Amino acid sequence: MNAYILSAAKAYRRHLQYRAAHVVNNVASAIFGFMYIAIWQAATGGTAATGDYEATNMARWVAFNQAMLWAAVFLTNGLGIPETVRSGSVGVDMLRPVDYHLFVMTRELGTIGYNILYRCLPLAVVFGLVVGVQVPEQLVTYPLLLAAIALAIYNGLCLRYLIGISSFWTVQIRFANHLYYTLHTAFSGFLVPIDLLPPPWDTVARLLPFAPLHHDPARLYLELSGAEALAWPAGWAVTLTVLCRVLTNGARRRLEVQGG
Amino acid sequence: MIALYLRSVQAALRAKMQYRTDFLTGLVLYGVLSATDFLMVAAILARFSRIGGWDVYEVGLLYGMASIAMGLYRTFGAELHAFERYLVYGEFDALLLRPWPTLLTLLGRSVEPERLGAVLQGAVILAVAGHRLVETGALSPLGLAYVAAGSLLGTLVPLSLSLITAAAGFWVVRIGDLQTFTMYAPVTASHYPLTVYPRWLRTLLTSALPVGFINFVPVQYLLGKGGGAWALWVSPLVVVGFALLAYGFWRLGERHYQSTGT
Repeated sequence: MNAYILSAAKAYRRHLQYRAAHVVNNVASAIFGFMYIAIWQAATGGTAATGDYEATNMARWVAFNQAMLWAAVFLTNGLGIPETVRSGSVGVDMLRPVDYHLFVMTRELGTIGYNILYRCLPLAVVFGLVVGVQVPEQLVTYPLLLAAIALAIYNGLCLRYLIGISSFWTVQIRFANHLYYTLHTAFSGFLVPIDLLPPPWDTVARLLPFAPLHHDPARLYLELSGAEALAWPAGWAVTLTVLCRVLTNGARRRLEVQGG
Repeated sequence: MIALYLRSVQAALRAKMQYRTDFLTGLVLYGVLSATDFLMVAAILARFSRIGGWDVYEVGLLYGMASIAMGLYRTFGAELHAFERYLVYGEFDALLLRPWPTLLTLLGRSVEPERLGAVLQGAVILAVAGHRLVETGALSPLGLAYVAAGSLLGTLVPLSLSLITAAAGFWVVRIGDLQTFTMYAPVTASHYPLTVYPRWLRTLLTSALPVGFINFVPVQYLLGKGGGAWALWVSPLVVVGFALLAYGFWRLGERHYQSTGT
């Protein structure tokens, strides 16, 4: 157990070295947020309230998701697996007396912890001052929202792990990352809530594992949905975990066949 | 010197074309993938019909121009885009050895022709939007020609932004994070009419990060949404002037370059 915590702490400390560079990035992230908020205001401003997604809600939707990006989406590409596959040091990683899958995922938790403290929170404060913070009316929203955020982070980790582990079979990992960001842009609901997408894309988005990263937690945050919004994220968490385990076993066998 | 650059681009292109299937799949992928950006715009417009008074065809014009400019930059500016590597690993030393401008050597080192997929995608959207706007009389055929030429010239804007960012690297070395601020955010912003943004952001996008002059400033006038005829000749002047400024900054930074020594 200790090894997992240690590797996470190490990842956290490594990021502390680059705090200055990250400030610039936070500014960029905030500007992206203000841009999207302005676009939504321009789109919804003229019309009367359009149900769930009226102007104030959309501003908070964008703000919430802009902060969520750093917790669940902007993680290390492939969780650092592709580099170790290329250099061969993955052999050593797999020899360690720890569970490889768990080891790689917990290591990334250090990065996520850093991101939450130095990116999500500052962004949340800046956006909160401008568009306000949605204070939940019902107490039950707090645990539900926490669960949704935790599931979003977990699902985000699993997806990145799957991309990373695929580098055992292919060298074209650049496209996988590009594809990931594209699908995320289109189907996660971080900018456009998925039920606003024209059919059949709304259904496609619902069936893909990207909505649990943004759409579902954001709906809980704005109290547009209740506990039922956790169903898809929880289902995906189970499915992705199984996939990760299966592929990890496959990768281990493949590594042995190649002889490292 | 230019001939030399063209020769090295040709060589880089020939190297890439050894992997023809990779090129073709890349071309299609970049085309399809970059289309999702526009799908997001379209999804918002499908629901609300207008953003700040601009309909989907008018926004399509802005989007197409920015897409072509950015795609061409990513195709021919691949090495500049990945410049951090040169600074972190001290690879820039090798460029200084050649008796011609470092920038030309750098740009000539590799191209990413598969990124032309994004250019094609932008061109298709531009063509569809332009055709419709000419048909409805919102845009003159001559205006459309201006838009097409402006898209090509607009390549200089991301190129200059990238050049300035890279040159800043001579002092700060790590520029990956800075790029998000100087390139991705402004270019994404230019997909929408600048009038929707708060004043400070609009000012930023027409001064220090002048992406507004790629598309919004001239198109606003061409579509009769404001501005004056001056926009048509001021925009290319700003674009070219900005490029010269960027190159001056690059030269300045170059003189400050210190190798990593490892």
